[in-house]
Amino acid sequence: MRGEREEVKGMKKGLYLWAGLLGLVLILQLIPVNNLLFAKKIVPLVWQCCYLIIAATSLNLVVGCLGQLSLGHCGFMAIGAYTSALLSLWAQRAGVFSHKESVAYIVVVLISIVAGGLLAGLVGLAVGIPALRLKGDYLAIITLGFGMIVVNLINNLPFAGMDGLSLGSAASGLYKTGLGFSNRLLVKYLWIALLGTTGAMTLMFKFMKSRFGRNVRAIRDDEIGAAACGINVPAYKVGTFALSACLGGVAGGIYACFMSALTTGSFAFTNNGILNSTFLVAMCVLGGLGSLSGSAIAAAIMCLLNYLISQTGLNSLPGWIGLAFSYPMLIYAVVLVVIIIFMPGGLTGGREISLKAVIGKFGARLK
Amino acid sequence: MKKMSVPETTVLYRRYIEQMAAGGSPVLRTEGLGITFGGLKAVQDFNIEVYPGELLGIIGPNGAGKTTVFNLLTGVYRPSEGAIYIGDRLMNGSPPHRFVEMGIARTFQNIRLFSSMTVLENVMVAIRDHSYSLVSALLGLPQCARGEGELRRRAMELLEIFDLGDKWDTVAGSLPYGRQRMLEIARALATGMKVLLLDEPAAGMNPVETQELLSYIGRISREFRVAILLIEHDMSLVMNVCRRIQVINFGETIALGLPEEIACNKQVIRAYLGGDLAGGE
Repeated sequence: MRGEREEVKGMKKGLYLWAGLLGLVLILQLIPVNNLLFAKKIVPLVWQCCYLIIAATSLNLVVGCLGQLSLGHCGFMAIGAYTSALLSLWAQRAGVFSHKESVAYIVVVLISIVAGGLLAGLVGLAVGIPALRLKGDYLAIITLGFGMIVVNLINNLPFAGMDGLSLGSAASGLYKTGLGFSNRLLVKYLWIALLGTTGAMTLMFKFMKSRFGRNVRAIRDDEIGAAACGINVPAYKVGTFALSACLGGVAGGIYACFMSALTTGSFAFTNNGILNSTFLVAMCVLGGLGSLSGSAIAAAIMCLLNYLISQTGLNSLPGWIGLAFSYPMLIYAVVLVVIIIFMPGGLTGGREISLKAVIGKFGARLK
Repeated sequence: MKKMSVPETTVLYRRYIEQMAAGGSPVLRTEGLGITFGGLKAVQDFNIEVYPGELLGIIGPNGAGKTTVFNLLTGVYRPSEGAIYIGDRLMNGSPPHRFVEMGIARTFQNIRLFSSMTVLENVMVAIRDHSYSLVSALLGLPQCARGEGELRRRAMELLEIFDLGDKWDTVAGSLPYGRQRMLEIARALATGMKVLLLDEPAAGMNPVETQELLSYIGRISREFRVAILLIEHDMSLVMNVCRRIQVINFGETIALGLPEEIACNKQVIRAYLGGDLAGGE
C-alpha cells in the first residue's frame, strides 16, 4: 500500500536527519574554539537563529495550524527563560556543579531547559482553558494581556526582579553562575541549541503529520464541521496551545543559555529588537501561516537581516542608504509589506516545503 | 405536559410504527424537546423516535425550525426543555463530539468541509479510530505508521463507494459543488454512525445530481443499515426516499404520516400555501 511505504520512508528520513545532526556536532567539536570568525560571528548568529526558529515555529502551531491569533508568545518564552535560569542558579548554589565544563553542568542545563518548557506548557494549559473560549480579536487581546502580565509579574518577583536580590537573580549573575555561556562555551555547547531546535521541530512535524495534527487543521478550516466529525474541539485547542507554550518555553531556555543576563524587556510585546511577540507573529505570516518549515525559514531570514542591519555597519554607508539602515524597523516594515503584496500566502504559501519538490524544481530549471 | 400539539395519525401509520418498533427499540428519541432564543420559541414539544435502519423525512416551510431541530439532535444547541436519548442514554447538555461518539452524524445545509485539506484527509479526520496514541505519534513509533496506513485504507474504501477514489489527492475546496456534498456524506459515514442526519442534501443540485444522490441514499441505508433522517425542500426527493414524514411549522409538529398521507394532508397544504389558497375554513 502506497501510504505505508510513505510512512516507512518518512521514518528513514528521520533517521538520516538525526545521523546528520550527530555528524554536524562531531565536526563542530573539531573546529578550534579560538577561530575568531567562527566563535565571534557565526556561533552567536546560529544560537540566535535557533531560539527564534523554535519560538516562531511553535507560535505558528497556534496562529497558523490552529488558526487562533496569539499575541503573547513571548510571555511563554519569558516563563521558560526565567524558570530554567533560576533552576540553574539554584543548582549552582546547591553545589550540583562547580565549574561549567563538567558533565553535571550539562545535565543541569538540559534539565533546566526542559523544566522551563514544562512549566510554560502548564501555564499555557491554565491560560488556554479560559482564553480559548474566545476567538479572533478577543483572544488576541487576552493573549496580549497575558504577555504583559508575565513581564510585570517577573519584574515584581522578589527572586527574579528587574535588578535582582542578593540571592542572585536571573537578571544578574547568569553569566558567572548559571545558564549563561561565555563565548567559548557558546561554541563548545552549540550542540545544545542544535539539538533543541531539531528536537522541537521534529516533535512539531510529527504532531502535525499525525491524526492529531490533522484534527487541528480540521478545526482551523471549520470548527463546527470538526465537532460534527467527533473532534473534541475545546480539548484540541487547549492542548495545541499548551504544546506551543511548552516549546516556546524551550526556546526561552535556549535564549537564557545564550544571554549572560536576562531582562524582561526582551520579552515585551514590542521592543527595538526582533525578539518580541509582534515579530514572532510577523515571522509566522512571512513564512506562511500553517507552514512550520516556512516559519523556520522566515525566522532564519529575519535573524540574518537583523544581523546585516545591526552588525555590518550598513548604517554608516553614505547618503540615504545609510540613513535608511539606521532605522531598522523601517526596513522590516518594507520587507513585510512587499512580501504580503507579492506573496500573500507568505514565502511558502502555507504549505510545508518538501526537499524533493525543491530539488525537482531546480532540476527542471537547470535542464 | 400539554398533549394538544401531537397531531392525529392514521391506522396505517400506527401499523407502520408498530412494525418498526418490532425490529428494535429506537436509536434516537426525544421527549418534549424545545428551545427558546430570547423569548422566541424556535422549537417546542418536539417528539421523534428514530428506529434502526429507517428513512425518515422532516419537512416544513422556510423558518419552520427544521435546522434548529438538527442542531438540537447533534448537540450544537442545548435544549431549554425536554430530553434527548440516544439508546437509553440521556444526552442533554453533552458537547457535539459526544453525540458523534454515541452514533449521530450529520451533514450541513451550507457545506462544511475542511476546504484546505485533501479529499482523503477529510474522510480520515472523521474516522473514530484511536489506533495510536499521541506519544507514539510524537516519537514516530511503528504503531503510528501502521495506524495511519489503516486509516488511509478505510478512508479510501469509503471514497470508492462515492466514486471519489480517483480524487483522493484533490483539495476538497476545489471539488465541484455536487461532489463536495457527496464528500460530506462520505465524511459523515466515516464516523461509523447509527443515525445519519442529512440537512437539505439536494440543495443547489441539478436534477441529474439529485437522481445520483437518491441512489446513494438508498445504497447507504441498505449497505450500512443506518437510520437516515432527512430535511429536504425537494418534495419529489422526500416522497421518493422517505418511508414516513414529520411536518413542522413554527417549531411545532403539525403532521405525522406516510408520504402519500402527507401529500394530501390539509394542514400541511395550508402551511405551505397559506390558509386561503388551501380552501380551508
